[in-house]
Amino acid sequence: MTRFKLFFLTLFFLFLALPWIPSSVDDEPVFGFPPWALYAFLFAVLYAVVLSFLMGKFWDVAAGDKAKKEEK
Amino acid sequence: MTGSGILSTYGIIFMGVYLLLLVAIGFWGKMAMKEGSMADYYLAGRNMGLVVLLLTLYATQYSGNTLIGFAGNSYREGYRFLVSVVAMMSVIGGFFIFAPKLFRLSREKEYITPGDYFQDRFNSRTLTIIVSIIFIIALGNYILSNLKAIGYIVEGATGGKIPFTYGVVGLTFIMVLYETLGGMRSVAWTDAIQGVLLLIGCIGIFFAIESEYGGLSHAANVIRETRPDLWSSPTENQMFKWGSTILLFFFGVSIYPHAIQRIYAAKNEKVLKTSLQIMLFMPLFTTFFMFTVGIVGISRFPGLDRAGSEEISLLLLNDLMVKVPGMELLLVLFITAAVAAIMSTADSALLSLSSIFTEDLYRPFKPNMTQKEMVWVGKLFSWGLMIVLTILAITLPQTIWKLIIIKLEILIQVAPAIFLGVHCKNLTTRAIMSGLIAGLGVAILLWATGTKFMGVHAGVWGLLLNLIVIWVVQISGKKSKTLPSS
Repeated sequence: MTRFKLFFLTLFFLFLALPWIPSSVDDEPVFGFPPWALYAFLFAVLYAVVLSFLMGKFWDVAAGDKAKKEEK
Repeated sequence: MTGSGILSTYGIIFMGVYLLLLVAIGFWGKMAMKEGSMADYYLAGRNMGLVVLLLTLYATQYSGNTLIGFAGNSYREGYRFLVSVVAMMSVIGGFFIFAPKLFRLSREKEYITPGDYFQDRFNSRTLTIIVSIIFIIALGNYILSNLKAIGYIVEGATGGKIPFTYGVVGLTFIMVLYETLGGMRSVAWTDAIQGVLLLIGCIGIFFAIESEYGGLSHAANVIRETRPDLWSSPTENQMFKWGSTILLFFFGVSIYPHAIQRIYAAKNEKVLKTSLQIMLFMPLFTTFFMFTVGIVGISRFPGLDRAGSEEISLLLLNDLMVKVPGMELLLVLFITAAVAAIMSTADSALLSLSSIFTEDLYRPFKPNMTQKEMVWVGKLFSWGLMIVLTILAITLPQTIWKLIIIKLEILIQVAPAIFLGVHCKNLTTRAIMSGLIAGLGVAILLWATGTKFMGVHAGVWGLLLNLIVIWVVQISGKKSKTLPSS
């Protein structure tokens, strides 16, 4: 994993958390949300899970360590 | 003018005890100070452990606006205000880009303020001064808005028994007192208490409305039938606004100077990493809970105007108090949590401002000052600044007030210098300076004229131009180096 890929993933999952699913007034509520809002909420949770994992696993890469080794 | 306050006499006494506790912690922080150096005073000796760092980050990131303003926004915007949950998470994403590297640099080069990083990385006093001034304007606004909010909350909660002016003056005095006594230690320790109160307030009100009003599930059916405009998915412009808000938080809120100084103050890298990992999930227990309060409020108290919607949390709590015995305790906790949230944000910003003034603006003119003298200058600055800001909070007319709330739009222009600066060794000072000036120009121009293309914030357009200019200047600099000299 390079720093570029890591930071790209950080922004990509944020991008996924935009409410991409269109829905109308006729849509039934799902767990108290309109479908588009549920999608955005679930992807927000996913973003937190993924970023937490990336932080734990690739902290040193973000700090520039392993990327240097790979460049060598 | 006095009326029936939300808080009973016992509630006011509870809040009084809480405020006294803050002062006691201030003295405790003073006694814990070891050497009285700048790092000891402003960064708690760079020795902040997991619990304190996590709670101070939490209490600083979530202001009184979270408890009062977020529910109001959610009431007015409906499900579209879910953006606040993602936006608060995105702040940690922003940290992840630069904090690991910046933490190591701060240990290696012994940074105290964000300005130390700028001076070390770009070696330009002009850039450091410009950035410091941007920080001062942004944080000054931040403190000012928090002081005003605290005055309104105290006046409203006590039914005017404690007027707005007394509320602002009294709480500001307490805040500066504990801050100048023990510096970052006092601020972080009081933040820890304030953070716990904030969390209890959010969780308490969430579960109370879930059990009494049926929570989101019940509210959803009502909103779908009565407010279809708040139910349907965002329009194209609203989608842009959603994305723009996230970018504003990602690049803007993550570089608040007081947040950067908490990165410097972490005991070690593991503590910082774990704190940020936990912080990622805090919006689910704070922002999302207050979002739910606003949504339930739509079904419970429909038709409120803007001012009324700002009080939706308190309206629901008052309603619950009538229905459920013992709910007064939750109300007292909630009001105290709101005051705590405001104080924890304002005190952190104040401490950061004081360090920026002393280290980045005053010290270059007095290079021979001792560490203790510098700490004293910082303390005097804190008192002076808070006197000025208190007067402004009390006297500033609302029309002028609206004009000065521009903090994130200009702060975000500093982001490339941090996000790119820590990673790109070849990035030149000239490129950063050019981008900063271009970005600031566009952001201020668009903001001043009220122009909002496609729903995107002025600051985000400014940032886009900022990055383009950096790229162009950087590329042209490289080309001119490779061209043979004539």
